[in-house]
Amino acid sequence: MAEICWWIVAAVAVFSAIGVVAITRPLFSAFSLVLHLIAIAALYAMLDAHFLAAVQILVYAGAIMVLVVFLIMLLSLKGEDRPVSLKRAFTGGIFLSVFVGLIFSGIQLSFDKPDTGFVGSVSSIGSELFSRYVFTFEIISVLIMVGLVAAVALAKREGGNGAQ
Amino acid sequence: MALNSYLFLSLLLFGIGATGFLLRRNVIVAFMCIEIMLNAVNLSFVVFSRMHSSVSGQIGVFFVMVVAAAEAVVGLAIIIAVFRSIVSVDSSDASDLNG
Repeated sequence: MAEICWWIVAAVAVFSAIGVVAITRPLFSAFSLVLHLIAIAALYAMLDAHFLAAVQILVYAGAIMVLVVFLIMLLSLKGEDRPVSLKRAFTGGIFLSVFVGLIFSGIQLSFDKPDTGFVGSVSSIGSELFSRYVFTFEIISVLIMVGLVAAVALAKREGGNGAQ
Repeated sequence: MALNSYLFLSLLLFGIGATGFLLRRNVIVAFMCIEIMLNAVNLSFVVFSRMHSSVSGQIGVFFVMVVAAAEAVVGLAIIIAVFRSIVSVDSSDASDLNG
């Protein structure tokens, strides 16, 4: 039963990722990405990372994707007028097959470990985050603050109302 | 499921994201392909956390998500700024530096 669920979720993740790449209309591409992120959240839940599954849906499928869809609608994008050139696709294919082949053999050689059944509970993540990783946590909150200020500075129209 | 199959799935998803990033010219789609790659790596982090019975991998995923959120905000603001000057989101139209 769990195996069948895994294969279904994996297929959804793979095909929605292909959808993001292959669909020419950016809005449908974004919807496909939402599906992909939800499938990844399901995989986190299967690995007993419940906190991450919830955060994935809240932050990724919620906040970030709303931003992306909002931008696509703001710019009212239709689709691409120029198709992908053969030379470009060929170069991409060669790069990809070398890369995937190398890592595939790497995984098979070195990562054959048994499943420990480890459950990352919310309380263990919280206590580790605020003891061992507390400095990183503070740095990351400064980063978010910088991102906020940078977005306002970048998107502000120059020479408009209130801009110097 | 064996933990190895999660790693192969993660590799496949990263490959799809990388191909999309190389092939597509629309910068918003390229941005979404970066999100696919980040998520593939996050998945492998969670698998490694499970392999080693350590919560550190999951905290790494948490930090990657925060960085991705910051990247999304700044990246989309840059796309808006570029769209204002060249009225296009096609990366080959942004060729002022002859790149």
